[in-house]
Amino acid sequence: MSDELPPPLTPEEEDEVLAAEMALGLVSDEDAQRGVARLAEDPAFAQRVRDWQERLAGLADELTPVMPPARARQRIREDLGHVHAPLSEVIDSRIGWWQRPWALFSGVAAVLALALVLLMPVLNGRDLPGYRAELVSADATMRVDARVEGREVEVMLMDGTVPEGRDWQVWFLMPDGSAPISLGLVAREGPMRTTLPSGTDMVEGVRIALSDEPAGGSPTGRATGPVFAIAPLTPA
Amino acid sequence: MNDARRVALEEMIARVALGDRSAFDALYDATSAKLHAICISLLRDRPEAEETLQEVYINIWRSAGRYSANGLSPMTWLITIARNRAIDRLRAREARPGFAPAEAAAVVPSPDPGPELSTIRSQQQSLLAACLDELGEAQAGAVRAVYLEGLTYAELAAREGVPVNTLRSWLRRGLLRLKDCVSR
Repeated sequence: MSDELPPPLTPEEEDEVLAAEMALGLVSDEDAQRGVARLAEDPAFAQRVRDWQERLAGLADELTPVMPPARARQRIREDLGHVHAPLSEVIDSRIGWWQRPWALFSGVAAVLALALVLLMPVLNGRDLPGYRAELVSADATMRVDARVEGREVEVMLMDGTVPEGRDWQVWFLMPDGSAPISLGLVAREGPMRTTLPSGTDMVEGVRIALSDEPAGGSPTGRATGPVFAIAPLTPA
Repeated sequence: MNDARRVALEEMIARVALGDRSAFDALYDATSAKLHAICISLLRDRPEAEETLQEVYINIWRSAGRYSANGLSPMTWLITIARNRAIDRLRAREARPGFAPAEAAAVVPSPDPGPELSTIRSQQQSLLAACLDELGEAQAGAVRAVYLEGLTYAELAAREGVPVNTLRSWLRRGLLRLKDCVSR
């Protein structure tokens, strides 16, 4: 380091250094105003700052991870209002919704029971082999029927309308608690037909669920929206 | 960070954005020890680091929806949130006016999310280490002290026993050399 003043930086170099300083949090007040304004107006400059953030983040790998105490997570949950009454706390929140559908189930079950009683004459008359599930929303405004014969699956919207810009995704839930497998999207009109994906088997205890998803279905391959109906596939 | 881990983190963040608490728990399990280490490194105070970590995850829960627009790899995004929060606390503690909040540079939406980012990043990481070596111990140490300990130009100048302007000019040139080296 010398005390002589080196030649001044070029405007290009000034930009680069300012971007680095923004990413490092080294910016003095006078430069900060300039920098923040640039971020909003100048995409190329914003990209430079991101490049520095990306570049420097590698330094964090030099640190040894330190497990935070358990109370930290508890306080985060409290702050976000994720803490429930003590009784429901027993349920491990890391368990997926498909493994603890009882809360949802109880609401659906009552409606389902009523629907089954009302539909019994119809069902008896149709004499369908295989398995069936009736998926009814808690408020009973939406109903989707699913039928599995061999490896053929048919899903049909019976009541209600899929909202514009949304899709209802059909999930196949194995009884072993493994992650739900998508069967596709409910058709707005007519049946949706598909075959069971490899790795799935029609065994006792299989359930079908419906989730509300962005148009085209879940972008992540897992249910991202609310699951509004879940029902067991039972021998028809 | 390998691709599988990056994809897993991106999926967790996407699910957190949709209010999925189990995904939030999984993200916390996967990343909290690292972010905690960053807070400790910068703040050198366990209770304050813990408090900062809580703020960081609350911030992550609330801003996960904007993640896909910012163009950073998931771990860089998380590290940047943690580091900026800790730096802001550090500056507030030092009651040092004249420094802009680091959060100002936190969320800059990118028009180009860049799917190749993780490959670029892992290459950058080994490149970064090599280029810091090339920079020499003094400048590399200064960059590390700024990033990992939150030192300011003034603090570095005091440590090196030189005027602030000299120090600033020296470190700025170091940063430019670092950029040139990693861009080669």
